[in-house]
Amino acid sequence: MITPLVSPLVSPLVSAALAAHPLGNFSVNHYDGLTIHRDRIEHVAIVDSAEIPTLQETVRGSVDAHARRACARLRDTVEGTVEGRPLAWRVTETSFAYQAGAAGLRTSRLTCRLSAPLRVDRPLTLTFANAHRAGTVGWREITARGDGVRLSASSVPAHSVSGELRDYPADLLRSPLDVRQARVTVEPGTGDAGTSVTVPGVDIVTRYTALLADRLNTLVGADRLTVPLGMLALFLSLLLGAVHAAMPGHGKTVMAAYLAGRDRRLRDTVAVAATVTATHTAGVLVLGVLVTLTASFTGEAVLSWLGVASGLIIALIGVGLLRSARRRDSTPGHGHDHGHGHGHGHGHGHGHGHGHGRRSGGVVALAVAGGLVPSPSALVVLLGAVALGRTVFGVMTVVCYGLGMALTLLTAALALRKLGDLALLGRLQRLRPYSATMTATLVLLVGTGVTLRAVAALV
Amino acid sequence: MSSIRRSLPLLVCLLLGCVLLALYAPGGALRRDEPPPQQAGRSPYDLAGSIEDAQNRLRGHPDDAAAWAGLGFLYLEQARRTADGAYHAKARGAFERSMRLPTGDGEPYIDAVIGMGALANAGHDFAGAVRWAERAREAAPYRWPLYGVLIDAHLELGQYQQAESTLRHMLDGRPDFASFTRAARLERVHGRPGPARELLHRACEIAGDPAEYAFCQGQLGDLAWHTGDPRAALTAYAEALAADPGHVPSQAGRARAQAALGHVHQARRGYASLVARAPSFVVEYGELLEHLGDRAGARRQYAVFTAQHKLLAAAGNADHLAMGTYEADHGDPDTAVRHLRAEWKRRQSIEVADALGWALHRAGRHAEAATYAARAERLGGHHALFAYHRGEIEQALGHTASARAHLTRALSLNPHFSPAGAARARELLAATA
Repeated sequence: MITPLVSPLVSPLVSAALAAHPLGNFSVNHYDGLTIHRDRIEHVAIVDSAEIPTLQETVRGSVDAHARRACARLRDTVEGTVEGRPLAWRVTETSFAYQAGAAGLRTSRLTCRLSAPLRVDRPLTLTFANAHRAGTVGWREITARGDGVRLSASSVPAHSVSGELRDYPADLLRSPLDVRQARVTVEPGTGDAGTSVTVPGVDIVTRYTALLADRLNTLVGADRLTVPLGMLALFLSLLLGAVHAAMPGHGKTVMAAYLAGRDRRLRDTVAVAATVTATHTAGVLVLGVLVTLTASFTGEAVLSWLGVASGLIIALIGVGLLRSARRRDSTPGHGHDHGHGHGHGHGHGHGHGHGHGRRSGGVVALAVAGGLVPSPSALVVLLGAVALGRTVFGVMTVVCYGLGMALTLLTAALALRKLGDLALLGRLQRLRPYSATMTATLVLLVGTGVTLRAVAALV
Repeated sequence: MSSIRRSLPLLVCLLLGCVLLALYAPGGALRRDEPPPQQAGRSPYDLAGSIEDAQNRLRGHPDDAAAWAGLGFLYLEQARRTADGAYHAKARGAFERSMRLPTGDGEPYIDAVIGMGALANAGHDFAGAVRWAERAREAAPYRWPLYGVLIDAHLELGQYQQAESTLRHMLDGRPDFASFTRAARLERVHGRPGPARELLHRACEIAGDPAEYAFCQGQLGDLAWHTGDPRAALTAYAEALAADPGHVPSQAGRARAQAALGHVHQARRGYASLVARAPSFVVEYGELLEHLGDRAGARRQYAVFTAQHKLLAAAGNADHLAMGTYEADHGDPDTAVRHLRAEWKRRQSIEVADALGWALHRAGRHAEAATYAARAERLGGHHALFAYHRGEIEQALGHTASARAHLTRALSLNPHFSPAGAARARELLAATA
């Protein structure tokens, strides 16, 4: 319950908004419009003073000289930085004009155009703050838009809701704006903030995964972590991992195809799954440690680089597979199956191959590639747990996440193999000699695709 | 092959480990090492945040009469804190909206009625505030905040008897911050600074948030100032401003006390930044500037005052007390008398009686002035400025002994009551010695 009128003192009368001003007639209202070009940033600063501050601000000399002086003062209170370095503002244009206000008094409007050099040749983070007449009441609004550049993130809108301080919205449920700072990320290109492309089909899965991840996060951060809650959290992370592995990208799907394309035994598949789990867990842990230890560490960049590495590995495996498929085509009936199983087992168990180790190395490499890119949601859960002091539990959730991924891969591989057997019984029997080549091509294509996508995200 | 066989048990072990940890760890690994962080909700002192929450709620539930009334009070508080009249209009809109919404018993939501009363007080419509509060009292006599509205209105109207009986009722029903601070004000009216100070200290102890704490510390500062102790006042104001840096009355009080202690530069800086936010202190600032010899600077401040009251009058909301006081000191005494007579018809409070007496004296009607000055003193106003006014009037009537007594009392109450007035009182005392 709110106590009405805490103070028994009756305050001096203050006049309500008579004219256009949202904050009564002693408000000083500020608007800052930022336009970022490829080679400069332009700032239109408008100061709309109501009747009383207009009277308080004495104009000495000509109006133009006053505008120049006022804009110079404004420039000194405006702070802009690009990547932490201050921007050098220059006043390019000034104007000052009186307007008729209430009760035969005047209001005034100061307009300053400022400009600062800037080179947008890579993504840049800009900050802006206006401390001009910070002690006064008034509407404070900042907008930012790009011209020939793209704002990938912005804490302020692109358009003014007050028509640049000419038409203040009057709404019982809206407080006057009081925005004094802005943070904008700008990059070369055109378009507006938040125009990331979304694939319609993926959307619904992503939404549900996000819901699951949220649930997991709240579980990990719950006030009291009971045994059932802990189990539920681990199960959820298992599920999340499974869903994550089923999502396109990251080359994990390729693995299933690869496993299906060759006559593998279940054990080999399990080994691959174990490798994926181990690689993914290690990746998340290493990244988690890096992010926790170094504040300047940018997780996104590392994720992109890991994506590139993962894609390249897959593509290389694809090439290798293609070559081996060709060779096999030329010498059909070679005792391949025997050699393979043996080689793989050793290659995995001892970390080095011999004999046919090249192929087994391929499997392990593929598994590594599949687990190499840590899933962001696993990372978030881990960091959240660490922040709450539940490091061990966080690591456990990550392990379960990897297990979930492995489970999906196993299932997919098994299912594909069964399907393959069924299909091969029919007319597709004729295609059998080419299946290895087809698999190899598919792997190569997906590898190239993953690499390209990761590179595109980096640039 | 054998390696896979070896890795399979490893996997099983890992899984088992997970399960075991989850089962037996709650005493150990699963327990967090740090105390739980605070929920990211609003702190109760975040006024802008609370307003935003209320607005968001009302967007979803536009028929919530209680939420509308709550938002109205938040707007009113914001108006008080920022001295920004636009929030009064918003508060009125919110209260009216709340009253239009149907409640179970067909009566309007009671907090909205109380809110309308508080709003009337803020707009200096004290008679209106009494009407709203009485209406609320009929509907819900145990809604204590309504008595706060009622007491404030009675005090401003000069109805000290009613104020006192209402206060007694409120103190019996709910001895809280709101009733303590009002009781302290009544004690001051009756010239008992000791009990007033005690009540304010008690209020400070139970202050619910920094704004309330700043308010009662500011009041303690005012009390110290009016009892001639600018140093103690400065300490209290500093305390208030530490709790709420935007507390305008304490900023003004600090500048006033600094000027009295001879820290003129600090005082000027304080006033200059203050009047940019809250123009209600321009006359005080102008008087200091004039006393320091800066006539042009003083004129600029007076011009702001005139403009501000032109705007108020244009809005049909003229503040006759402030205008009359200003005109008596710095303008045309006859205009001052006109304003203050109009105000006297509306309310017979100590402040209006003193101001009218002083204006009549400045207009040369000393005999009539004396009756109002005496009336102000009879009503209670134990105020150095009022005593000085009375002394001047007695002096003009040729009652030297009585004048000397009043002037001496003024200087003993507060030797710094006004830069020019205190100097003039000393001059008069020296001349008639």
